[in-house]
Formats: sequence, structure tokens, C-alpha cells
Amino acid sequence: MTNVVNEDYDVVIVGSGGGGGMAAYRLTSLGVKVCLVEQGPNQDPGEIPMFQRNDEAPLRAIGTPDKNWGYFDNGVCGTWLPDQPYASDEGVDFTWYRAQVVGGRTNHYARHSPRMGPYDFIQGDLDGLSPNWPVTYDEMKPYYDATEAVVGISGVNTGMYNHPGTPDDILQPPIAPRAYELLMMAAARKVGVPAFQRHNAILTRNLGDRMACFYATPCMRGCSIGAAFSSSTSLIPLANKTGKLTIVTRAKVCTVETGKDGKAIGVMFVDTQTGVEGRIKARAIVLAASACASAQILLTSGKNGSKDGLANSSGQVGRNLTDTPAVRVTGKFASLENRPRYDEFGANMDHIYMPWWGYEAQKKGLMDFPRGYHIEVGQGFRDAPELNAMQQYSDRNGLAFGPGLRDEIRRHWGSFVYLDGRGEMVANDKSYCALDADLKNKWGYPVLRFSFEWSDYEYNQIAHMQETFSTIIERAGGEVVSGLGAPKDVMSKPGGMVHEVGTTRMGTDPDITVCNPFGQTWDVDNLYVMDGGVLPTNPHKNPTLHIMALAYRNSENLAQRLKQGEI
Amino acid sequence: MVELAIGFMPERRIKLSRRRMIQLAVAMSAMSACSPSTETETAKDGIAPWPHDLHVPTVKHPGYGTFPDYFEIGETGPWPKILSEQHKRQLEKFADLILPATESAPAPSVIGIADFFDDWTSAPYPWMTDTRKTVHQGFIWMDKQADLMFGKNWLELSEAQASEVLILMRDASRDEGPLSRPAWMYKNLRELIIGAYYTTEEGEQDLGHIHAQPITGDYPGPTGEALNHIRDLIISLDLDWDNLPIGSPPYENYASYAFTADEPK
Repeated sequence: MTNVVNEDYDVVIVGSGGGGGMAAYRLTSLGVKVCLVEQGPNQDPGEIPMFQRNDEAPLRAIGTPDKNWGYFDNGVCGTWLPDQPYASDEGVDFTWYRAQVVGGRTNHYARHSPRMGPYDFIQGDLDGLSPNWPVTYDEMKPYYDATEAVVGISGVNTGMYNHPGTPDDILQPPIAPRAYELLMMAAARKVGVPAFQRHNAILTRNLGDRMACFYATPCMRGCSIGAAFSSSTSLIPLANKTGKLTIVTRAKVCTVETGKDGKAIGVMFVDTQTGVEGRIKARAIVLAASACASAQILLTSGKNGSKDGLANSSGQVGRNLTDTPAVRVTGKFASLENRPRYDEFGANMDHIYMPWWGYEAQKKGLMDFPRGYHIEVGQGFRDAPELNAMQQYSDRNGLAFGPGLRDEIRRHWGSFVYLDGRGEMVANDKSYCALDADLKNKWGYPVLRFSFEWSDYEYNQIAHMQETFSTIIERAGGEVVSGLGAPKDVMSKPGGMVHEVGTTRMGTDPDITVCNPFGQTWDVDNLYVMDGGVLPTNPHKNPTLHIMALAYRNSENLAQRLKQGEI
Repeated sequence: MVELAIGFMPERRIKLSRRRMIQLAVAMSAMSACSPSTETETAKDGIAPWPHDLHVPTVKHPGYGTFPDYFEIGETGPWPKILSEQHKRQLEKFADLILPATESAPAPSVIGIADFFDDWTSAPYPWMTDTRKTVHQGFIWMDKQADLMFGKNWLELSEAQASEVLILMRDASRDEGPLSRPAWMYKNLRELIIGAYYTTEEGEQDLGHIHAQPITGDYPGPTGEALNHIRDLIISLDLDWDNLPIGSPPYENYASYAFTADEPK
């Protein structure tokens, strides 16, 4: 990469994941000249280790401090980055997963892509626990359509209220459910929980240069053929084709620089290889570095070291941090022992899910938690054996050895099914990130300190999941073997679901929000945020699709203002 | 020192005479017995003391980093291999007792369990560092325990004798008592042996796991016997089979399953 980028750009985008990639695609296709800055390296989509077996890698490819989610896991990422530490308050075990590679976190996500529905935009009216979104579903619908047309979505429309469908000309056919998925669908439906094939950002038909899935390699490793969507294979190539895109890699943006009039003039970065500082100038800046990383940049950009940071007259930068509360309840099914083998891999990700069904009960005050959740379904013998996941099969009868152990393992292989709950957290005052007073990164810039607490809203929701999942598992003839117990002991860790949002939330009131309804910061006219930071709430419907739909929409606003000379 | 002493040993066990193997093993246990810390403790109630203070080689390697080369891992892997031939033989014997060969499935020693442990115990990360300590201290203990029980070292034990040592370790408490460390050793090595075995092609075959191969067209879902099995199960549980989406669309029965589509009151 270059240390000094002399050219002037219309827009510099910080971060190349879902938000940054979509902004780059939309802006360049509208004729805007863009420089996309990514702190990690580029990875040639042709050099993704799709077919390597786990026993071809060191340590059977299991996760290590260098590669948290396994040797072949796609992306340069982890919670532990020696050059870039972070702090947590005492008793807070916040895991901040950072993806540092072109494509960011979209290289590694579940591809589950449910739309938000009308209710999700007006939670302020429904329960008063957080502000409404500054847009409605009807306003967002065209942008969901446009986003999904580019991303490529397969699945079925449920027809349920608050779970909007995708137009027939965009939606690709769903993927056939696996045997254990059929069983869980049937059991869920019998106990009054809806179950459908889900919307995945996985192609079942060719789309442009990208090919339909061939159902053989793990999505989490990346997808050379572009069947599993990622920004790096599916958005950035389209932006590149316009001739309007420059990509600068291995450049960590530390601050947004401002002129005398308070407007942003560019970004300052360090070359992560050499430590040399550089600058890129542009008419407008888009931060899409991930919710917490963008907050960190704003807080670090304070004038003369002001602790308040940039675009923070509301004091809300870093506040309202939420993650997805989650729990896994696992069932053991004697009826699935030694079941007939077949290729259960499929598109690797879940083919089905159970959407939230409790809106009416919540409206009537019948539930002790205000927001919804959905259920994901996994295991069987979908994935190839993993070194650190075999005890479930080998330790059912104590720690036996010798003749008979092989039969035992074979018998249990594929006889477990888990249900994963994915809920919605209500933002609270105790969950936020701020600059740590002392800790610095390798280049001398301050880093984040996390404070985080779940509340009874989340604990009660987790308890409801546990009860519901047990009911479904038992109705399917299974026995619950793990996941019960006090919610605070068994639920996910803060940050664990990698769904941090809210730290630069958008809204209509500048006193309590950082960005206006188009993601433009209230304080700095030509500075936008287009990552998860702008989401005012964190619905259980996985955030990536909403981040991209907002980036699509807000990029149009930015392009228009550039064209009209407002910036 | 141990590595130097046996550095000339041939790669595979079949090339090594039993007599030579025993000579080496005896020489090595004599060497380790020189360590003062292991001399001071003596066996109690027929249980050998665990050599807590025995020196374990340290690994100084930065790890493979956050962006390794996925295609050029190299035959020797990212870090120098430091496991001794003696330890490899001891681990092979251990592993072959955990998962003995059958008519259709090879023993762990045949499919490279020693190479797996060589990679694993030479790695710089925390779990692997623990295992390195377990192997280095543990096989000293196992030799001593074998000696107490049968007057031989681990490699000299018959299958039945070796099984008795493993049973002792398996059934001991991992929380307290003189066998807590051996019990951990058994549990941890067993877990690694099973994990390493079933992540090979031979292991997958033994499980009956069908490793996915690229296909054109839609993923079919369960077919034939697998579909019959799940259908029979669903029907036997008095669940509804008829409204489930089987295979690829169109699903003619789909309209028969609907959840409320109205806005809640």
C-alpha cells in the first residue's frame, strides 16, 4: 500500500465489510469517486481454502489465539490482536471480534438474512423502551428490495406478520431441509411455534458473475464462486468495474481530520506494516469500520485531545451498545442413533429457522420480556468431525477405551440436535464503550474500554427460550442434555454473537442521537456512519442485511448531496 | 538431551528391533531418573509419584499468525517438531489401546497419530503447551507405574498389562488424590486421540460420515433410506408429515401450513 495518497476523492470509506462494501458499490455506481480504506490485507477470492481437509492444517485446524475460529476460517480476525488491545471493566468479559481483511465480517457470518418488519421500526411506540427508528418499513422496503437483488437471497416467505417477504422476482428457491431439520420443524409446529425454510444470503441460482452453491464447502471459509455472499466477492468486484474505486489496504484509520469550519477534510491512517502515518483527503467521509471501531475513531478525533471526541455533542458516541443475547439448548435423540447416513452438509448453514411468533402475547402483556427472538437449528452430522467436538459422542458411557468404543461413537454420531436462541437486547445505561484512560495500541492511539450488563429483559427472554426449546426437543422425542440452568450462567458472553450495534445511533433528535435519519452526523455535515453503529435498536433479525440496506439508502442521499454541491 | 540421544532412531517402529527399543527405553528412564526432583518422592500405596518438577522443553515460536498461507503449509508445518521418537512410540501404544484396529478400520498408529502429536506438542499455544507438559511428565510417571505394577516400562507391557494401567488412570479422580494428574492425562490424551483419529479420512469412514462433494443442481436433502427413516419417526411421534417441505420446490402442500398472517390485536 501507499503511505501518502495524493489524489483527492469525493468520498473516503473506512472499512470494507457489509456497510463499507455496499457504500462503495452504491456510490461508485452513481458516479462518485471513492477511496475504500481497509486496515487488513486483501485476499484474492481465488485463494480461499475451500476444499482443504481439517487434517491438512496444523492442529487439525482448530481455533487458536492466532485464528480464533479455526485455521481455515475466512478472514484475518480475532478477539486477541496483539497490536490492538482493548480493556473491559472489572467483571465484564466483553469479546470484541474484529475482522481485518477486505470484506470484513461478511467473510464470516451466518448469511441468515431476515428482513425487519414494521414493528421493529416502532418499538418506541410499542413498549417505550427505546426510540423509534427514523424510518419506517414502508420507506425501507425499496432499499431492502434493491439490496437483496444485489446480495442474492434464497428461501421462502413465511407470510407472517412483521416478517416481510422478498419479491418473487428476487427470491431464489429455498434449500431442502435436512432430516433433523424436518423433525424439528414438525415438532415446533406441533407445539405452536412456526418453522420455515429461512432466508440465506446463499445463491441457489446463478446471479451475475456469481455461481449457485455446489453444497460442499464451509461458508465460513469464504466462497470463491461467490455463492455465499460476502462484500469481497459480491460487492467490491461490482464497484471495481465502475472504474471509480481505489482500495487502500493495511491502513488503519486513527482519526477523522477536520478543517477550521468544523467540516471533515480527510482521514489520518497508519500503515500497519511500517507504522508510517498517511492522509487521504475527500469531500466526504463514511465511517463503516464496525460499530465500536467507528466510535473509537470518532472519540479519538477530538480536537486537541478533547475527551468528547468528534460528532459527539450529544454525548452518545459509544453509548447504547447492544449485542444479541443467545443460548443453546442441546437435545439427544435415541431415535436418531445409527440413523441412515447421507450427505447432510447442504449449504452448510442452517436451512430452516423458527421466526418470532409472540407479538400478540407481548402486546397483551403476557410475557415478562419486551422483545422477540428466533430459533436456529443445528448439528446432526452436517459438518465433518472436528477435533474438539468429539467428546459428545465418545463420553456418553464415561471415558471408555478399547473394543466397542468405535461402535459407541458411531452410534451417537448425528444423534444430537441443538436449538440456538437469538434474541433482542434493550439498550441500557451500563452498556457502552469509551476510550480507556491509559491503554494504547501499537501506534500510540487510545483504545476502547467496554462496560456491559445484561438486564432482566434479556435474562427473562433467555429463560423463555430454554423452556420453549425444551418443549420442542421433548415433543420431538429427545432428551435435553445441556443449556438449562440460570440464564446468566449459560447465555452468551457480551460481544459473543458479534452483533454489536447502536454506538452512533441515528434518529430525529440531535440531543440523544449521533446521526440524522440518513446516517449523517448531526455535528459534521460531510461525515457519515454506515455500519451497525447507526442502528437505533438491535432486532434479533441478524444485523447485516439492515446495515447494507441502510448503507444503500444513505449512500444515495450522500451522492445526491455531493451532486447538488451541498458538500 | 533426550532428543539428542535418540536422534538417530529410524522413523518407523517396524524398522526398530524390540531389543534396541528396550535398550533405549531403559537408558532413557535411567536418564530421567537422574532428575533430583523425581528421586525425592517415593511411591505410596503402589502409586508412583507424579514428576511435577520435571523440566519440560519450552517452545519459542510466534505461531502461524493471523493470515497464514493456506496452501503452502509445508510438510513440516509452521513450527519445528520436537517430539522424541520415544514419546511417539509411547503415544502410539496409548492410542492403539484407546481405539484398537478393527477388520475395517486401521489403528491410530497406522494413520499417523504420532505425527499428529509431534505437531501438537511442538505448537506454541496454551492448550498444546499443557499437552506437552502432560506428555513429558506423564510418560515418566507411566513408566514408573508400569514398573511398580509389572516390573517393566510402558513400552514393554503386554496389552493386558497396559490396559490395567489405563484402567487405573481412567477410574481415578481428576480432582484430588495421588492419581489426579494421571487421570487428567488419560482424559486429555484420550480426547486428543479420538479427535485426531476421526478428523482423518479413515476416521470419517469408520463413522460412516459422508464427506460432501460438489454437485450441480439443487441440494436434494435426505433421500432413500434416510428420508424413510425420518418420515417413519415423525409419523410415529404423531407429528405432521404432510405439510413439511421435502426436497426442492415447488412444494404442493405448502399452503396447508400457515401461521397467523394478521397484525396482532
